[in-house]
Amino acid sequence: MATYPLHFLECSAMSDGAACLLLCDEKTAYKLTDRPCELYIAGGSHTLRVADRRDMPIPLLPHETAGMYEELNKREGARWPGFESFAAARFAAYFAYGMAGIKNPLDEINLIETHDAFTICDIQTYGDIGLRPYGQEADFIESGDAYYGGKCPANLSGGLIGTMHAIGATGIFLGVECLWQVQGKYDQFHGDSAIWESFGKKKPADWHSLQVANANQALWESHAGVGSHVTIGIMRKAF
Amino acid sequence: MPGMRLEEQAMVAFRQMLEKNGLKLSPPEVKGRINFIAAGSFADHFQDQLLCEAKVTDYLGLDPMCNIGVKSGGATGGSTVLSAAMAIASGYADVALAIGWEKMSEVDTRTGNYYISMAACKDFETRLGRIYSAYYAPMAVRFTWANHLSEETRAKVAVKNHLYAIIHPMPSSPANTPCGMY
Amino acid sequence: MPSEDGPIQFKGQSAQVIRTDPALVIEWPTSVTHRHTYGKLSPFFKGLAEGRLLATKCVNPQCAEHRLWLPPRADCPDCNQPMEWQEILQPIVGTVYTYARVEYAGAGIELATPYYQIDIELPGVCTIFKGYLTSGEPQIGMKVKPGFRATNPTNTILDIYWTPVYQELIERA
Repeated sequence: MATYPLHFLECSAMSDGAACLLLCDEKTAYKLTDRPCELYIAGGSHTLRVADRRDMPIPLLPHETAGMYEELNKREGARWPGFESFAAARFAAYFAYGMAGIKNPLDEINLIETHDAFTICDIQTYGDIGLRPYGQEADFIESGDAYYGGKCPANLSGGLIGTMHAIGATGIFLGVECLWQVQGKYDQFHGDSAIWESFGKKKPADWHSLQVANANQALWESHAGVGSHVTIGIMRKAF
Repeated sequence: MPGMRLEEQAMVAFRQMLEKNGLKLSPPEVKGRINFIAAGSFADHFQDQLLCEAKVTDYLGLDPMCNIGVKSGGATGGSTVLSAAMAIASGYADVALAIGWEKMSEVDTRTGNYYISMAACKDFETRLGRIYSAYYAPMAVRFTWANHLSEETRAKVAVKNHLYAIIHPMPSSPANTPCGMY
Repeated sequence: MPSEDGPIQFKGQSAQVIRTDPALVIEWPTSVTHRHTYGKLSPFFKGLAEGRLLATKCVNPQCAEHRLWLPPRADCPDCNQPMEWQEILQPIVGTVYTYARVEYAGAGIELATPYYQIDIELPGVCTIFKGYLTSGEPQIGMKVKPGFRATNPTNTILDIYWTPVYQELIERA
């Protein structure tokens, strides 16, 4: 047990790593590649001390309805975001969806990469970014939506828990995995035996592709600690 | 992974970006077009090196282009991309590199935990655990209580992500969890 | 007369090699002491050593937030005006809002593990206050009261701790 109730395998491991993304204007993008993607990105923040987060009205996402969280607010000791949710993530999603013209994320986003430093903040985020209403976050994983083949697979890269959390690189690595999915390049970067060997490993015999078919839009979330900073980026196919 | 220094790690990512993505211009041509660099890492403490962004910009051969070091804790990567995006969107730059790294293997786990816990309020929180999971755990406890979240649901998230990581070539230590399947 | 090692004497300790493959790895010890100031929050920490719990409050009539702040702040984040100190008087009874059991702690931990870190809701306070239990097991909604390390203060936030309210009743019985 790391810190009750979190078990060791629910925590990401400290790692060494690096990642980069090249951004450019539209003209240059088409000069560089036949598979460019548009990027929409926005950030939010909140107090460093979770316990300092005073109760505030919930900013509603386009598909949410006024009054839908009245019961949530009436629960004893309830405060939003309190200890249960992240205002920084909700703010970042609010602005990112606004910029990208997204009305209902579950319908319009084909896959996500979330910052699963621990399982708990991953589950909390499903509500913040509107894949389920607050209070029903667990249903996103329980329903199968979060799995490959589901409505909106999450962390096909393995995320932080599975793959890595070299902190400064993480929020870029998740964007890279989104880009490769929308470009249709999952197999190229995960299935090439030469890449496995360059990392001193052997490609498993039971390797299978996690390429999402017809991926048009992918969202990734970059999150600080207990939600003092969150940035949300959306990669959209532009070819 | 003691095989590389932090700027050497950054070089691996930079070269992969330039050489392996089927870009229509050659690496020197692409590199020559970069006119802004946003570079980030979580903490100078891990690298025990200040101004890593200067080391990295120099090592990749991108000086004297403007580079800015970006930090926002675990969201550093996203903020680094946001900084590069703002440079392009504003017209300030045509091509911007967003690059991030971390070298956490140079301290033992307890010290690493302490460093990360320093991203909590130094006077009122850090001394109460000096470990980051102690800041997440109260959120887990309260969320579980409020939403009746089961350990099984949390485990499903972990198992899913571990299984997807096993078929990813890059992680250093993917774990094959034998318990539970979806 | 120059020494055997070279003309300028090396006054430190040779870096110990701990690995040679795949790269040469040396040990690089560091040790730092900061002279850290509690600044405008000094009254709070002095108060703990005296067995008193001090909070701050915005007194600007134009500001909407007049509840107490704990941890205290010297300046109001809503209207940016200086706040004033107000002692939270005994008997102090808080409610456990959430908690964590700390078993594996980071380097330099000053409390014996395992112990429970708790977050406490107090009447009239707009924030929630983080602390630790020195006895009993926490539950959300449980009542707790503070104790103070007034005899041998640590001069840190650890000078205030919490115990379940029922504990006293059990001890009295």
